[in-house]
Amino acid sequence: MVLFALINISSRLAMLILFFIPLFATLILPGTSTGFLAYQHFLLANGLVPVNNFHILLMVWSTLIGIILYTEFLTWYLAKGKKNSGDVKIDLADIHSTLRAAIAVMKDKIAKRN
Amino acid sequence: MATRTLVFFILLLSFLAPAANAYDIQNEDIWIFQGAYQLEIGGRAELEGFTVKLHDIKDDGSSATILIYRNRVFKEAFLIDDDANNVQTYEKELKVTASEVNATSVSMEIHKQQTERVWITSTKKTAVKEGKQIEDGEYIVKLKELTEEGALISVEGNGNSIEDTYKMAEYEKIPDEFMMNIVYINKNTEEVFIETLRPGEPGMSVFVKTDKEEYYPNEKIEYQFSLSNTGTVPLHGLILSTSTSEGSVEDTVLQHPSLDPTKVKKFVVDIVPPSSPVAKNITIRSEIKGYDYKANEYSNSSILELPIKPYISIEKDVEMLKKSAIDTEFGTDEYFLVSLTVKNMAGSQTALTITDELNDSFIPDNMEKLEWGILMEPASEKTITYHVKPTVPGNFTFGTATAQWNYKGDTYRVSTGLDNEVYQVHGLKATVEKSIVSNYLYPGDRTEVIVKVTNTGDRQIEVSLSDEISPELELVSGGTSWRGNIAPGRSEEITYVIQAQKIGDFYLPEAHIEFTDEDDKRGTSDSGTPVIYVDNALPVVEYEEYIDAEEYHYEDEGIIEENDAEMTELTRSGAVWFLTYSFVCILLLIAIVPTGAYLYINRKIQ
Repeated sequence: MVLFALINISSRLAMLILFFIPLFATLILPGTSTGFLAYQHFLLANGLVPVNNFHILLMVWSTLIGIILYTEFLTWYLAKGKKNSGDVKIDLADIHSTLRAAIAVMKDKIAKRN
Repeated sequence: MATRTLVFFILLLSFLAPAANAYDIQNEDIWIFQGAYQLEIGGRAELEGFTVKLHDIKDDGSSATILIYRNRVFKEAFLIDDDANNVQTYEKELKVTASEVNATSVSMEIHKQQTERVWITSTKKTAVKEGKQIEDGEYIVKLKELTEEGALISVEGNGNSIEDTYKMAEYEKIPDEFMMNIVYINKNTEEVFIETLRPGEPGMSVFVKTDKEEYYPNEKIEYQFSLSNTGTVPLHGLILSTSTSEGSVEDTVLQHPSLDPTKVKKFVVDIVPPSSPVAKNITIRSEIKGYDYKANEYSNSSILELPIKPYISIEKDVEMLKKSAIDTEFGTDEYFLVSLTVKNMAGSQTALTITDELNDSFIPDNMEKLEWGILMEPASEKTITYHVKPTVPGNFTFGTATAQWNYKGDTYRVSTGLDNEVYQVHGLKATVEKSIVSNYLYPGDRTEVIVKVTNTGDRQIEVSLSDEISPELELVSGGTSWRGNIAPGRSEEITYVIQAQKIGDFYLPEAHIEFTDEDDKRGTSDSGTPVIYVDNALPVVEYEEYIDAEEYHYEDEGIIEENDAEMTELTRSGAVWFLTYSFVCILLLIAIVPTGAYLYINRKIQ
């Protein structure tokens, strides 16, 4: 869902979704959410380091925040590169005149057919 | 009435006549091959109705005398050799052709003159009009013309070309290949009903089985070989040869004169299995040969794997018996009689070591261990019996007994099959278990002690429980003794609360029960001794040292508990704050590098 929002809508919305899903879950069902986040999967380093669902949430957050931030940064950087190059210039007046000519040809053809 | 009867019989005969005719053309009176035999002096070839016996052979092996028996009555003797007199015929019915005569045996082929169904319908009766034809494989039968004399028909195929005029019920035969038969000529509709026939062939299908799935070495194997003729003409001169990978076959060769189509011949062969110290599979191979009327050979074979058990066998039989009323040992009502039957099927003496396994709750009567050394005579059987006493009531199964012996330097063993039968032993039994709700306490803490009494016997008991408390602990509430009745399978829990007084590890004394049933049988049982740890409450001591002792004592216990709960429990806002804090931290950490890059690039451009 976060990646969908990132690609199709906006990176800011993706970031908000990422943040607010666990936050709302904790606000609405604090007992269940805290219990879920505290669920211990396994212990590392001879039982010294417990790995809970909370740690997995942090990992997911880190990954997705990284993806969103770097996507935004790279998009800015690439767009900036294009603007600076200035090789491609699009004249809107040209496009409009071409479109008008094409529409006139089509109208003519339809009139002949009738 | 008489006219009607006459017409009926005429019609009946007219219907039967073509059928009889059709039957006749299918048969041929020919010399039917009965089989090829190699007979030694005294050897016999058994045929249907005839027996051919080789009486003697001349010393130089040039000729031999054969005797012909009909229905086991001697009829004629012939001198036969493998030269000019190699064919001898008896009464135009039996023909013996010697192919080889030597000093010890005579090889011969035997034929019998008889009528046999040879031609089998290939194309059923078909109506054919002028100019039309029917095809049967490579043969084409064409009706060229229908005249007053009959039907002008051509038969072509396989290099043959025959054209002739045929009347009803006439036929054209190409020997050993093809036959065309005019069944009926209908002049009104100008149709000729033609059928075609071909020489038949026998077929062999075999099925083998034994009367049991596995055998002991002293059991004779009854091996059945069934041959079915799945073809259309009879099989002759059937010879069944049987061999086995180990053991011996009593009749290695069996003969049968002939087998008609769709019929089944069952050969029974007795096989003596091998005597082996280990279980093994033997392979029984059979080959059947037979011939059709033209002496073409047909054969089929079968292979059967059969497991043979070792020559030592052991069986275990358990019988549950009631104890006498005066025998109150272990509080159980039954005991067992175990019988171990050992058989030696080998042809030699064998020294065996027999061992048996018992459940931990069983004690053998008057024996230290379940091991016996016995010497078994060849083909003998011995039975070992002993008594077993169960020490507790309940459901039990018996283990397997094993016989072990040495043979040519190797050790072999066989065991009894696994007996899954469950034996229920009745009796008087109760258990007591003692447990603590929390076994880690600080001085002044309280915990509950649970004493559970379970009636594991199968009758109601009256129980008397007595328990004690260590001097380091104090009884706060509840009682340490109890008396009451418990039904079979039911439990009773007695609980009391103790308080820790001193620091240290303490074993709680075992709880003791005495129980009696309705028949005044008595029993006792003791619980385990659970341990309780009373630890030094360090945080409390440090706290007391830092603050004024009087202030501390003003605080109510309830307030302390509330404070503790607030400190440890994660509230809703706390959880939200913690999540937000974590998210922001991660975001800032990850954003360091792209932010740095952004600022650097922007500054460079400016």
